[in-house]
Amino acid sequence: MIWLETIANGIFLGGLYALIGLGLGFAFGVMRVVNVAQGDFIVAAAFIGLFLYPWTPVHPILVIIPVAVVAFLIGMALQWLLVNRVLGHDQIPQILLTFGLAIVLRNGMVAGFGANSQSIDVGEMRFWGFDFLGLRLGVLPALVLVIAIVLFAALHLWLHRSRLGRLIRATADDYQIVQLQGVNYRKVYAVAMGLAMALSAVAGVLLAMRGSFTPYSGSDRLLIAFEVVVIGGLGSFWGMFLGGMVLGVTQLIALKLDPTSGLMYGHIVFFIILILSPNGLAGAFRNAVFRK
Amino acid sequence: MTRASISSPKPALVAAAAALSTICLALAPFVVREGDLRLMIEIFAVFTFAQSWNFLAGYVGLMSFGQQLFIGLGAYFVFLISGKAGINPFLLLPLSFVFCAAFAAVCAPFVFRLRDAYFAISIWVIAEVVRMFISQKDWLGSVSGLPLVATRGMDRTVVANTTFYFVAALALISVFGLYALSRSRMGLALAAVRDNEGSAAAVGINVWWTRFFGFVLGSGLAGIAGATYYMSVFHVEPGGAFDPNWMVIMLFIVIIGGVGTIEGPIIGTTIYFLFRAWFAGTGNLYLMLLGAAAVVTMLVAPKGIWGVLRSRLGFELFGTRRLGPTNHRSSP
Repeated sequence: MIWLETIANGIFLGGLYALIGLGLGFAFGVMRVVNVAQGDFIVAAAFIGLFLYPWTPVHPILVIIPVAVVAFLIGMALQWLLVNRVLGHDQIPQILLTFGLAIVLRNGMVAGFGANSQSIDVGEMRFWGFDFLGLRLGVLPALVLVIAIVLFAALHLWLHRSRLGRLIRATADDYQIVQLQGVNYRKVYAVAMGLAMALSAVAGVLLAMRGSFTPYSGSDRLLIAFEVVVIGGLGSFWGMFLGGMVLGVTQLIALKLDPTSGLMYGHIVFFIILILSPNGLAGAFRNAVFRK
Repeated sequence: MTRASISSPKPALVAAAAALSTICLALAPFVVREGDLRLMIEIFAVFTFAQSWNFLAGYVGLMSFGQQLFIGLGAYFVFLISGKAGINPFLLLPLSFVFCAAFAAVCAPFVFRLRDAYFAISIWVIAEVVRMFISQKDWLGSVSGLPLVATRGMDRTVVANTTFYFVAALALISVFGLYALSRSRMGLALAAVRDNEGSAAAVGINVWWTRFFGFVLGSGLAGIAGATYYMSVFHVEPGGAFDPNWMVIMLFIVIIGGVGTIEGPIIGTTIYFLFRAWFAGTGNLYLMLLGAAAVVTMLVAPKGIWGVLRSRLGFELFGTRRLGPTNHRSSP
């Protein structure tokens, strides 16, 4: 029974990991940009949440909305002011630029807020639980999974149904053709980066509610995001979701067996999947079912 | 305006410079005080780290964010084997190159499946796994690390001087060896693979093996430099040896100086150590400055200081570039 509970909790955590990966994967899918500073922006979002939640009406968990808005604006500014200037065939400048940004952000946060471990307090909710098929599960982790699923589905629908969503997909396919139609692809990129940041920021705040964070958590977050995207198969939406689940379940089972292991077994599972299936889980699935 | 032609010294002159600097470095321990010698060891080690990353990013086209993996592996290899088997650690230093190169060779088939940033981060993941593994195992000294026991019976000056000679040799190799390599057939193949793997394959270069060779060589170089550096520290622990801040330092040096040039990291290392002397007390501000400098360089002069100087002066110290018969970058 304890194992079933661990697996269920792993799935809850996995939803959150998938959300962390979604921002990175979305930005990569649209712009071929890998924002190495994503992990540190996730931590920055948690700090923004930490300052905003005392003023949030109704319930502290609603703080994800203002944080997402702020993150969206930061993402647009980041793309518009910095990343758009180094776009090109060569990816190295963007990667190095965002790596530099990550260093500045991380050490700025240490200098500003200290290196102590922090957490966003959601009050009583942290202790609520419910019984499901004889398992005792937490309300907050389950709610976080629901939020993750809703955001995945919403992004998927928005990309396929709305005008701007179609524009983003068209830009992802070929930004030069889009330009011929009179669209400034750099603006589309700014919107896409804003969205990627908003999604990551939500993940960051939820993670800060479930557990704790320090200004140094950014690199762990980035590695998780990266593994989710790669396990998912670089750009596959639901593959990423599955990737998050795999990492979440692995991590919690490993922590039960070996409490000091941290993320180590998650990293190892990531390499095993990479060895077995170079295109990630989605690639393996596609090859087996769709032959796409 | 056609691109200004860039002149460079003849290879014979570079060979003479190599000989001269070898002599200078060979004499250094006799003139320099012990404290300064220690600083020189660190400077040369950091320079070699940076040059190994520069080689991978700028010459092989493989950018890695996990170069600290090889620094730590090399150091642990020498500390562990010399401690357990009682072998002279200086004999093990060349083997640390082999060990790290072999480790890279085993990883290559898997990490080569990923490109660009994903490749870069996958090496970082390996570094994290190795760091956590070592932190958990008591026979590897776990979190508190391993001391260098094998040199305890030896004469202090001999140890310091030998370490210096090793690291000086590495620095020389990473300058003049890289110069020789990039003028060779293999260097041309590496440049071709870096610039356009499609055309490289079309002219008969084996893209995978060329890249593999570069990766293994660059990783081995970082490994032996890491081992040599920790020989001068006498103690290695996982948090320090696999610290991602090594990566920050290498990145700063190479980006500021100019990626893909031999001269760039020399300038970058000089600036880094000056920076460190001025701002070392400021803690995080100093790291922020390193990061901000990398961002600004990418925005203002992606080719780094040497890239700008080279085109302004029309001169380079190490002529490794070959200009084609037509200048495809010329504009009216």
